[in-house]
Amino acid sequence: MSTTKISSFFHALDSENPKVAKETVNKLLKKNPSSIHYQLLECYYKLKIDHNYQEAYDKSLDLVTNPANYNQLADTQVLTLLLDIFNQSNHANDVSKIFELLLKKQPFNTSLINYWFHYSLTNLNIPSLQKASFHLQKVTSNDEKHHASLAAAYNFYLATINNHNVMEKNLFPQLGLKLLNTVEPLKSDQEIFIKVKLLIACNQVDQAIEVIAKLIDTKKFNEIDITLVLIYLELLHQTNNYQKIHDFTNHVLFDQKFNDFNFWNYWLLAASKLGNQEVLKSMENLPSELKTSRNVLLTYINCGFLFKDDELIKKSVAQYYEYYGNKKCAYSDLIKYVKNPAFDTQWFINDLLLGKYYKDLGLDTKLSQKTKSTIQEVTMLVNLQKFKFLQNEPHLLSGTGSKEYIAENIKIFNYCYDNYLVHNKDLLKTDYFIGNELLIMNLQVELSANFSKQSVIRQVIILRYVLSFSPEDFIVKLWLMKLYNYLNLATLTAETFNSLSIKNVQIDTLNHYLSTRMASTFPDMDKYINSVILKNLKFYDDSQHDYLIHFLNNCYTNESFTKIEKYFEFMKKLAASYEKFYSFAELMEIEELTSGRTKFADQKKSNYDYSNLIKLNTNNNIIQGKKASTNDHDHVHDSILSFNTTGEICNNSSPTDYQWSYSDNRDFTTEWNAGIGHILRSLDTKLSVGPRTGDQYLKLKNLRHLLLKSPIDFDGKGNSKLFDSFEKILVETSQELLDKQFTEVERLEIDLYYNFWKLVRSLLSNDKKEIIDQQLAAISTIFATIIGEFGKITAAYVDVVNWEVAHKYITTIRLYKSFNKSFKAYKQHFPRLFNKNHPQYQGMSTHVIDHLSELQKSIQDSHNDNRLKQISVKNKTMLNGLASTMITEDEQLKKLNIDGNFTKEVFKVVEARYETIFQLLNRV
Amino acid sequence: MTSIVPFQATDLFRLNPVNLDVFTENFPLTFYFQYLSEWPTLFYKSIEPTYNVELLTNEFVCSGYMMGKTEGRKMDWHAHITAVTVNPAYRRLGLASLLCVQLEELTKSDPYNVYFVDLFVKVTNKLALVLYEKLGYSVYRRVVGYYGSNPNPSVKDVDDDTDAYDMRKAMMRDTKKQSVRANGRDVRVLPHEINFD
Ligand SMILES: CC(C)(COP(=O)(O)OP(=O)(O)OC[C@H]1O[C@@H](n2cnc3c(N)ncnc32)[C@H](O)[C@@H]1OP(=O)(O)O)[C@@H](O)C(=O)NCCC(=O)NCCS
Repeated sequence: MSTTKISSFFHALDSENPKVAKETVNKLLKKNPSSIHYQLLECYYKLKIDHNYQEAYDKSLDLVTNPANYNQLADTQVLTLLLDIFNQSNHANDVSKIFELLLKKQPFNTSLINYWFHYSLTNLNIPSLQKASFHLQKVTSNDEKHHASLAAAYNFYLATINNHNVMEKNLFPQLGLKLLNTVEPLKSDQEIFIKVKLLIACNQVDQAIEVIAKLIDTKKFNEIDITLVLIYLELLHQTNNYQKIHDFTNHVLFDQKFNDFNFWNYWLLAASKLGNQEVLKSMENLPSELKTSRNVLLTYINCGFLFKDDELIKKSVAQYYEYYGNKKCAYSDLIKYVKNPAFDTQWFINDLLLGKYYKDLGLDTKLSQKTKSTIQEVTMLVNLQKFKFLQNEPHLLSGTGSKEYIAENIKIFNYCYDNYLVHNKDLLKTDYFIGNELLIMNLQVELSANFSKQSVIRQVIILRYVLSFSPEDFIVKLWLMKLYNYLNLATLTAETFNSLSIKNVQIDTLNHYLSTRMASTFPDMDKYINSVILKNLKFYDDSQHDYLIHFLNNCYTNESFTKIEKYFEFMKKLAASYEKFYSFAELMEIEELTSGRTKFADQKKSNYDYSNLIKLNTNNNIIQGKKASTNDHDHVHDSILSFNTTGEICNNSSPTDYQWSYSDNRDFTTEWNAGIGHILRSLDTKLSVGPRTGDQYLKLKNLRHLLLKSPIDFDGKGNSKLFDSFEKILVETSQELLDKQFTEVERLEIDLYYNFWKLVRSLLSNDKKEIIDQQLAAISTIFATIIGEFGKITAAYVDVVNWEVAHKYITTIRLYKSFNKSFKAYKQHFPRLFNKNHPQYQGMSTHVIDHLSELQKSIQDSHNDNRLKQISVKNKTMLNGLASTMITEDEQLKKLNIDGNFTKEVFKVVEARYETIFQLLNRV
Repeated sequence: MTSIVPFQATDLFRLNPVNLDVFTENFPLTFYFQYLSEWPTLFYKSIEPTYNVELLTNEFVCSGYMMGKTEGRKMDWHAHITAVTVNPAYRRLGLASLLCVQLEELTKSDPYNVYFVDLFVKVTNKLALVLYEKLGYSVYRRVVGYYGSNPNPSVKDVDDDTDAYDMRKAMMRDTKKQSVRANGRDVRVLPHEINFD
């Protein structure tokens, strides 16, 4: 076996040099035609370069079915190649069959079974892992038997929850339990956890309860793994066993003094179900240190709602406020109640907050005084302003209402700044200044009530001012990035992003601040893509996968079974990360824009793997799309008590659902945890860089990209299958949903390609003239709209440039370049269809070719007319105008005492960045 | 309204409200996974039910977490606070204290049964020092250059910005309270001298 030749084969594939790869494998095969290894290399080539999955799979299968080949296949290098081919050709299910075949000859080959286990783990292949571990426990003896049996039993559970086969779903947990019986007595909580999970999977809930109850009876509370305790409560709840819930929570809360909200909720639930009138008495008799705890005070409010006792609600809310009205959590704690129709909001705001607390604070006189203030007072004031908004939302979102509210917030901010912050500057070294939230509230209200580019710029100035004294406030930075993105000031976004030291998994959740529509808004190689984006995308490098698998394996060796299920889920979500595939799709668009002069080969190799993409985009279960971790929630509508006993914030279904669908791990919520919060979230639609892209968006984008690689033959093979997927998504997704994800010009692009491809299909199958005419007319209309829209990018239409202008401009140019190139490729590929003698040539000429030239001319005209220059001049004039009014006349900036020079400086920075944008647009 | 629940791998996608804080370290994934796989019960989070006014649903945010471990031999067998951090929106409610007390509760008896709990804190992190002192921790020694990058440090190079205090609290098992001392601030060691293998 020629090791160097083999590595040069893989090297050639990696560096996108298929010719060399092909020559290498041919030479090897010539030397040794019967070598299984070389034959598999050929299959691998078929898979990777020809994308001929079927043939690659069929040929490798032939090699496996011949027992004479088993010896060669037992070599791990050969075996891995074979398995990789199976995996990548979408036959991961066959992985176990190969091992089973090989084991028939050597049933006790422990190293082969170990390899099977590790291969399955590495590929997150749960069904295969289950089978491997079952074999492993059979061949291990003595010391290791116990451990191997536990792993195998656990994997029966894992394979059950990841299974759609009803028979296996019933059978597996039973087999798992049987296996556990052989290792009884179980020693640790982790071992008992497996049993409990298997019992639940077998629908033997009572037995599961019994197992945990026994543990609770025999061990001290703090010595039991909390996971089991929480499962216990959940199961008791499921089986309506309220007496037991009552007894147990009573014990934990009062005897063990474990002051935990989950337990309070269950305690209250049980009491309400049992009609236990003692609840209030118990609450009133609590020891005083517990009585003022946040959990207890909130439980008290819940009592009021549960017993529908208005007086109690008022009393308990007032009590809560007394202790926690000066803590930041008061607003998020109480908003649920304040928004409840049964709640007397007027009483809360007018009587309690304004009446009692405003009066107590002596606010009116105090705000104009210079007295030292405390963090409690400052927090109280911020909370009051938040609640005040809730009382009068429609008015405060009107023109005059919002102005008054904003002015009031500024007045309070100044008070907090002058009387608290200046005396506590040290605080900012280690903590946050809650007063900043008043300005976040202003931003949210102003932009919701009165969105304009001017107000966006004003808010940029204000937030930069906040950062001048609170340089570490991450909420402010997140908002600032949103504002910069709206204005297309990507390099400022990048600087802010870097200042947050975002790294590791945060890249996956936050990189969208940088990557969203980057190819069509800021495709700058030097200052942006190379120096920021590509650095971030290294996070997705495959190399860390091996380390993570090592620790996943450790979960088995250390018997940390309670963590394995979510570990798998994490790995799958990361592998199918929306952000990862989105960013790489954007890079592909940059390649398209630069007509291939820019190459991201290194990134493509490991992350934008063609076969992965095809799977992700064509597998049926993803066509429907699936929302992953963001906004997962417990659907307890209108319920006062909320339970989260399993402790998973991400409440997702089984991990395999993510195997070949995107997992959207992006975080769009953190910045909304401040200020007025989620009520105003519709602001995102105005502020974000185009509509929020979703599943269909990315699939269509990727499929379009794949379909551009070579003309579609519409022969039911190769990329015509991809076209079917493309068509299916487009046809099956409602217009409304598409409009929610695409900008107008993006829609036009997708429609143009779709109609063009349909046209080629019709021409190839000699469809009726009417059909072809319809398609030609559709293409014509799309072109006309594109040209019309592009024509609007002039100084007459555009004022201050924002992302939208750049996006429309760049997308149209890219569309022209790539469509033109693609059209030529089709012309070459199907000379017959695009020949002057073809009966449809006239139609093609007027509807496609002429329009394409028209678009080209339109782009050319825009260059000749110096349109960008004119826009840039107008942009500058507008900014200058804004600068001079803001420096001298702006109410908000004046009231905040923001120095004119500061504002001037911000404008200077912004203007300089705009110059970069225009240089970039000129280069496109 | 806090509940303590186990930390799970998928929580890593939802940590921004806690981890965007500048004083909170964002570790490489492997670090979190090592803790999940080796000390599954000592890595837990606090969560707060929240109400989504937009969707009218109950949700949960992570308000803080504790990454803990156990290590050492014989009398050095102890629990270590690797990271404790609290979402700024939920600070000053006693959450950090709760997370620390919970670690003591979990490790002071079976199956861990440690002699003491320890942690490192930047000499300048006054706020955290107060927190730990309130919880009964005291300085055991000053680790010179713990957060620095000097390859050849000397105990003379005292620097508040790069030095850490090694703080300890003795547990019940350490009946003679041998794991703590009164004059810890005066005892200086170098990072490599802290070794529990
Ligand atoms: C340090 C930190 C964990 C404290 O969290 P917390 O939940 O607010 O702490 P607690 O509410 O339990 O505070 C306990 C005591 O610490 C002190 N303390 C905490 N935060 C304080 C602050 N901002 N200012 C003054 N004292 C403070 C107080 O004495 C407090 O008791 P009190 O509220 O009754 O006065 C939190 O600020 C944080 O996450 N910081 C960033 C990460 C970090 O530094 N971790 C520690 C590294 S070892």
